[in-house]
Amino acid sequence: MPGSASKAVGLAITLLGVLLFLYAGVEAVAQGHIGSKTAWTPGAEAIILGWFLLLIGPAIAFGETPAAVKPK
Amino acid sequence: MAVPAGLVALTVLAIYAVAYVYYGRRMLEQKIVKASAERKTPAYTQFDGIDYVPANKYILYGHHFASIAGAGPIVGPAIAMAYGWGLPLLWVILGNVFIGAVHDYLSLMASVRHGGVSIMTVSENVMGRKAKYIFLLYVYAALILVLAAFMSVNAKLFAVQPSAASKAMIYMPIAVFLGFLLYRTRLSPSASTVIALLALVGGIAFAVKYPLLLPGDAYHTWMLLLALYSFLASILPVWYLLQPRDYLNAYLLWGFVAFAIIGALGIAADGLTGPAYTSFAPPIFNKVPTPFWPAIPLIIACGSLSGFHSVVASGTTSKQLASELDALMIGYGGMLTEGAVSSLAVIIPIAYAWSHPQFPEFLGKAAPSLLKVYQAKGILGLNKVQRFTAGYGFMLGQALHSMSVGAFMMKFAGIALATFILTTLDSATRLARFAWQEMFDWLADRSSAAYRAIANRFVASGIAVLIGLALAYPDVVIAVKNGKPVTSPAYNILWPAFAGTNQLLAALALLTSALWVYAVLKARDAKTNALIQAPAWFLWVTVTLGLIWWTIFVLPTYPPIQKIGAGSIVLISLAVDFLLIYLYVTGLQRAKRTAVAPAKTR
Repeated sequence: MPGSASKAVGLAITLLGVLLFLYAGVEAVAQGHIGSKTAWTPGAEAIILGWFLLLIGPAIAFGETPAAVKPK
Repeated sequence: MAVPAGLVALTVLAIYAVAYVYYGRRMLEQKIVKASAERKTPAYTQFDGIDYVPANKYILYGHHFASIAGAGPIVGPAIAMAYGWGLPLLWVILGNVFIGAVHDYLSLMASVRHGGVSIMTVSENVMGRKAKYIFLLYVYAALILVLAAFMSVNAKLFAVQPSAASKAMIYMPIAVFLGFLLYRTRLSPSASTVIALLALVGGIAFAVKYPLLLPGDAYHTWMLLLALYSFLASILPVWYLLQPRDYLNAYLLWGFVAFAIIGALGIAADGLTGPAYTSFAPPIFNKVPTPFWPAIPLIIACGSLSGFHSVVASGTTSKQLASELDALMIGYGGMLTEGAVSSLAVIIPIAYAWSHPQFPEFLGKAAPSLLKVYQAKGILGLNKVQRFTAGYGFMLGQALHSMSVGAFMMKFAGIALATFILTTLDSATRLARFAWQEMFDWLADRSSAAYRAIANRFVASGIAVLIGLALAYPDVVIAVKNGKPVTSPAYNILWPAFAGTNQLLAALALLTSALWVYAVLKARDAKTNALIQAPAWFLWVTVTLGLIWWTIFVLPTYPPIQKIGAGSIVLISLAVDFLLIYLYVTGLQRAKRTAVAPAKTR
């Protein structure tokens, strides 16, 4: 069972990932695209960082193999 | 008189249905393998929560299909249309039914019966220890090449088609979310799926509208990001990302196939405007006249059969199989589905659009930049991806009586192709990890600490990604044209040899499976031998001669650096080929003489 500390860390990482995605979404709606071909924008950086955080955050938070998956 | 499209489509579907029931179920599953729900699979006996995890059969089917279907079933048949549509269709159907699907199913079942180890390790039981390590090393090298190629292709796609990049950004978190819904909440699988699919549709619409642009050298930036992604995705548990992602993917792929069927039936009475036969040896490889036999496996590849499938079947799929009775749908059925993609979504549409009087008007509206090329050089003047997307879109536009729908479906075809490619990337990384771990299994007996240090999933995946990146990232000068250097990613030095090595791998894997059937399952009657051994030998002869032909006639047309690089790979492949055949023959003779020892498991 993941400790409460790792669960908290995982959830925080996941939440940060979601917020970064939302930030990128706002830039997308405002500009019609995310990022730019001429320079790095906060939106591009946010969505890429958010992507990796959303890949690993839930894994840290819910690291244990779910009961639904364990053989009976 | 033109052959009606509907007749061809229905013939394909009928052959597949009959093959699945009579050959797949009755012969392979019930008579030869004797699959049983009573026998526990390695997903249960070796359960570890990371790689060995039982999966629902529809989810596993999604994973298996998404992993085996790269660009091959689309681009290969599109290229092969140079022969007309008849010969490629024949190779796809007969190759699927008697070789490809048999190869996939038997590799899967052989692995399941041997504790989930790869077909390369299964070969130890029937061909000896040397065969196993030679086979493993050969496959590992092939997987690294796949990794490098797919890293480069994906990075290029994201750089030139930024909406594909935003789609990938949105897709993965939705897949993780689906996994959470399926395994951590009380929501039913149906409800979870509906929520995820709705999120996916919305996500794709968002991605198409808001592409992700990166500055500077976006191609190389994406390659680094994809390398990190491959590493992470391949070490995470399969239930976390791989299963839900590929399950979601399967809906997209099924939608793609379903639309192809709707399209083919919608134009059922219309004739295929393309020729059933053009030439036995049109110029395909570097404008060299390319004889249909023995070169066709090198062209159509995955659309009919592929060695990579045996690595997937005996790599990730066998470790997640919940019941032996699920294997037929996944292994045999998965390959037939890929054949359906090739025949219904590629060959028929291109043959239909070929010289259709309304095709120029469609191109003018949906893809104006392609119209001039088509008018000057015909449909074969379009590149392989353009032929496919334009043919697919046009067929659906005609079937649904709307050019706008056709234009949209042309874009949809491009998205489907991009999706096929991305999912293969981290699957290939995970498979390379498995091959690495099996290559060093001898170390586990001598020093478990050393084995854990070198073969843990972090190190094994990391090494695979780093070598793949080393082959994909740097650009090298491949040739000089008109005084200017032509550069290409480094893996391209070796890539021209890949088609041949992949097909050779299929021949060797099928022969290994055939020997497993003979030696371990002891199915030795004349009918079984004819149905399994004969196609295996036919494939081996075809691919070996194809490789020799390619070396003599095509390799000399490549620039010097590729002559050395790709040429070395082919020569090594042929050496491995004959060595493994020698070990196969000695294994067969041994099986005839002695009883086989109990199967070695992990």
